[in-house]
Amino acid sequence: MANKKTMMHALPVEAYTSQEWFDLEMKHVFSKTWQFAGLVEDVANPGDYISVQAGLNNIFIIKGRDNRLRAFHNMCRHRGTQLLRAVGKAKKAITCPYHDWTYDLEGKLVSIPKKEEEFPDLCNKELHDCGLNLHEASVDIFKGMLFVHPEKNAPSLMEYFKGVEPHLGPHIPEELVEYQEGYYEKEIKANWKIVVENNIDHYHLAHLHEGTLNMYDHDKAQFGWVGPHYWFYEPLVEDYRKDLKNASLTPVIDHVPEDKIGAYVPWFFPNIGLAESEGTWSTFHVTPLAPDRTLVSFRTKVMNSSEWEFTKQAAKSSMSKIWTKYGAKGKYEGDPNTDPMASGDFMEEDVYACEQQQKSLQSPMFSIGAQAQRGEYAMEKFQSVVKEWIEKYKD
Amino acid sequence: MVAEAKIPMMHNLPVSAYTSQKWFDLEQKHIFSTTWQFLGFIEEFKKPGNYMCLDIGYNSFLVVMDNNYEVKAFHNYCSTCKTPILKNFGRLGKYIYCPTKNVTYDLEGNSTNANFPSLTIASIGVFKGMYFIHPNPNEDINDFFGEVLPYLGPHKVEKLVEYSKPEEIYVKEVNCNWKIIVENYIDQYHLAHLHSGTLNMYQHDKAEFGWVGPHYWFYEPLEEEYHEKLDSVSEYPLIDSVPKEAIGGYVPWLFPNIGLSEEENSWTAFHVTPISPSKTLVTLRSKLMNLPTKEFTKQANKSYAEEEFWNRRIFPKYEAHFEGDPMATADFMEEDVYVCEQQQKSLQSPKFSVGAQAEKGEFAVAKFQQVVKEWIEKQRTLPK
Repeated sequence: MANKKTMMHALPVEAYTSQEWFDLEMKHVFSKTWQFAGLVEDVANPGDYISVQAGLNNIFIIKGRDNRLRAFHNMCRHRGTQLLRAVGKAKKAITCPYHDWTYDLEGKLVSIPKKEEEFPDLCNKELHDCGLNLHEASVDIFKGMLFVHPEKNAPSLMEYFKGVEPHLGPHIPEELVEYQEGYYEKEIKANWKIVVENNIDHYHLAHLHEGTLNMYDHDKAQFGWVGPHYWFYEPLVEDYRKDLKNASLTPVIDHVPEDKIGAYVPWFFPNIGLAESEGTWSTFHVTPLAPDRTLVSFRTKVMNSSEWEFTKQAAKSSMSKIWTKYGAKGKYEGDPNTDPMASGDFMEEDVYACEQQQKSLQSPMFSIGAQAQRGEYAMEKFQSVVKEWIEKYKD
Repeated sequence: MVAEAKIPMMHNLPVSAYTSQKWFDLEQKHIFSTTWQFLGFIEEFKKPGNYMCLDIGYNSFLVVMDNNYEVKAFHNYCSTCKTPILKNFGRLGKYIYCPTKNVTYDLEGNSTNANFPSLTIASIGVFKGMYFIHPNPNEDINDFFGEVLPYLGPHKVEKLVEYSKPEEIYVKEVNCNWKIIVENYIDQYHLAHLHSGTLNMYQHDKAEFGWVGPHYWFYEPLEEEYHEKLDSVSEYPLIDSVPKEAIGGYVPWLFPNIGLSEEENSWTAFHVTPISPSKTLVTLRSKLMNLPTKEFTKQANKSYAEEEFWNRRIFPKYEAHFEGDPMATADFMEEDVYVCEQQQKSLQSPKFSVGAQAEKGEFAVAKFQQVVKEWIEKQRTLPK
């Protein structure tokens, strides 16, 4: 009788708490989808590489001497040792530290120490024909972002994003530059889906973020789904829009036409979101670490303007009256340095809410009491997408 | 039949033997609860009444030095009430007392009241200056290690001393399965490669090695110039119980979880304790010649003066990639820990496989897996 499964919207609560679900997602969601790996400029020159944990696979992207990008499973074919560390420059060859097996930048095995003596029966062809080249994976670029897929013959990335593309911002990330101080990484004590659901929850914007994101007009938000992806747009509030040239914290992105200015905040299945706004363009990458731990990392790009332009804009912004009315105000009173709800920082507010929700999942009294028809529609939809994706691949 | 149902394998064991809780439990039960396990050096027990409690595999032991200065081992539970008798370590008077049922035992485990049974006895063995413990009574350690003894170094371990204070002993939690560490230890093929800048004092090409029962033995001579100049270049005073013609590196692995590194100037027990399928504790206990400090200073100064000699032999394999990069430390332990952890990471990959095996240099890796497999199978089929 009391055996009824406690539910979130479309998924059982255990999907947010159990190792079993976590393993299932690692296997069927994160190991079978295109995964964000970085920005194109991370591998600018021949020999540059970047590696990423994509579900159960560790994959690296390397730029060849022919300037083409290739992706391989980061694993020596001898005993499986991971070959490359996080990022690096100008590799001439890929050598496993353990026994010095060496591959060229195209993943072909070129040297085995003591081949004749130790592996006489291995294969009497050229080494690169011995079936021991690096396992190939796929790499492709979308909006200046690198994506990898564990299969050599992966489904097309363009096809994957085709439907959602018209709903994204007109930003051209390749023309923007990364703002190094804008890098943000944090381990959140919540399931990755809680973090995603928070990101696509329109209902909370005017409440949790009443003092931090009120320069956007939440009532005029538009959003929806295309395939497994979510898109979202909201305009600036009128006061802010009128004074934008002065009030913007950073130089306004000049290739966004005036009538298109606003915040575009899509979520790409399964774990990468964007925040394309009037002055910045950010990636929001979510990496599940455990059922109740998630790593989030932000990378932010801004206009490729001089430092002087940034200083000038910051000075203008600090004098704008807009900020006396909008943004950077804590929801509750308290010490902004220790209380996330008094910080005036919307990220802190989100992290706080996510962790508080995760805490309640273990309560025997936990249940979803109601669902906002419009503002929380995306959460339920996201859960169904996860569920369907797992079901599709499980067998 | 689904063709993909093939189980991913290491050499002779399935990959799940390195990642699953099920295999970990199986090993705890059938290997670590049924073999001789390292306790410590014989000099650690000094006085009658000294005791320590420890859990190994599924056993809880109580080890006590009795009034005849003999070390005795028991299963750490009262024979009457079945609850643990002692905790941690310390010093007892003449008796072991169980407060639950008011039962008293002497230091030899006999109950002082004839109506109560005595403590359950375990076996203690001494091998190369080390105490080992075995859960069964009346086991003889020589039955297990005796056959490999002729292949070990001639070092008189009892005459050497441990210089590190307890807090200075090398203890490291490594993020990999315990067998990955053992396989790294007994892999001859990697020595010239991973350690191309850290173990050049030995002639890996002249290494000799093999198996006796479940144990692995290994010997390699010193590199010629090092051997020649040994008196001046050695970091520490040479171990005088090793005859000049027998000098070299003796690096055996004693089943299941202790390796030795018996060298020209040091002697080390390399003890491996599994913590979880992907976590292992490594403890190194090193001994040196029993000489006054000034002799060590003198030898160290001589060795430092040979800077040019050492620069040609000890150097980092790679340039530092980031701060604290283990591959740039020129420390062979750091190098080993690094590759062990890198190998463990790949075991979850759906594409993982062992691509090839060096006939000679990796023979021991495959053999060790065979020994683990056979040991578990043997124990599982033993009548209870």
